Amino acid sequence: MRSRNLTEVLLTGMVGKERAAAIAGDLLELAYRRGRIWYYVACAKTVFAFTWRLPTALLVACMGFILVQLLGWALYPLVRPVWLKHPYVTETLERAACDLVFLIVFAVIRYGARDRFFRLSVAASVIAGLAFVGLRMSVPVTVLAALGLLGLVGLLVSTQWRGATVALGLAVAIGILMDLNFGNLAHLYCWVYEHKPLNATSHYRYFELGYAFPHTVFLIVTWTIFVLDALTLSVACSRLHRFLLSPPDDVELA
Amino acid sequence: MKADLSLGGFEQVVLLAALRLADKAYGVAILEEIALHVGRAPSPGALYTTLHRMEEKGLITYVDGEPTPERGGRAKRFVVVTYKGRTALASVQAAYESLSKGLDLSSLLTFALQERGADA
Repeated sequence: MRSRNLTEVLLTGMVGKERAAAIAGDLLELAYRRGRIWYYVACAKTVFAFTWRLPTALLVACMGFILVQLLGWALYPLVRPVWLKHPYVTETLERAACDLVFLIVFAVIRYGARDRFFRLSVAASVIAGLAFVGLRMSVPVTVLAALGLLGLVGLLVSTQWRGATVALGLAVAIGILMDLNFGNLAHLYCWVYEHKPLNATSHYRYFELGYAFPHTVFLIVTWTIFVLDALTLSVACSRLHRFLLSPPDDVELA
Repeated sequence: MKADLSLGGFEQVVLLAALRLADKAYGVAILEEIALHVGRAPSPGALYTTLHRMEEKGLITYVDGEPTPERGGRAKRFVVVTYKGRTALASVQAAYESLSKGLDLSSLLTFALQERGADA
């Protein structure tokens, strides 16, 4: 059995086993004429060309997510009465909006601005953002929800947009399930430090600086879970994009 | 025909090179064909990411070849331009041709060279 070199191993995760082997073979073939140094430089440049988008997208998306969380906290007084009345609806909406921001930034760097997944994420985040800000006004929100549902049906009927819609829906659902915000960490914090469940009405005092954050353990756990959640969401987004938005195998050759 | 202007300049170069090579279009051959006609070889990374993107767009597909010893026992993968790829390329080339009709491109080049000479 032939041995796999480092370039091939690194590229396999990005382009699949057969393609990685073909690229490594091409570089090896060229190395006979161009020399060993050229070969190592070309391997490094090829691996970088395929891989730079993923960590960059992840990093910038994490920063975007943190910024939108801060914005959410700033807007909290505005929606506080509705939030206390319907905590689960508003919290789910907020999580969806935050996940969408993460996905927008991730998708635009990874797939470009022409990508359907990205364009759909932008539209969905505008709707979710408007719904979040206008929670107190029931009529506009109801109209917005009705329009959103109609749009969703239209997208699912369309053959061009169905894949992107399903991919985005699943990615957001995974994001919500992964709880890509600090909400449940406050619950965890309460169990660890106070040995009692969190009271929903006092939920947000746990995020205040000077209360939760001086505890190193909480800080480490918070950021570790956040990074793991972000990694999971980025992998989910990549996989869903590959399976649902890639062209079909039976491409027309004639 | 409506031109597919989402097809980038380098994508067109790669598609043209693959079409010229017909059933011999694999990574190394495409790099050499581009170098021969453009005068400068692109980096392998640029070529492979472009091929990857074009496959995702459905413009090309691959056919596996046989493994060879100089490739460390790895098989070549030959690029096949799909119907969609050929249509996209033809439409964008036709648009360029239509736009450049009536323009004297050789005099434009002479003028540009004169201007560069004057600047220097």
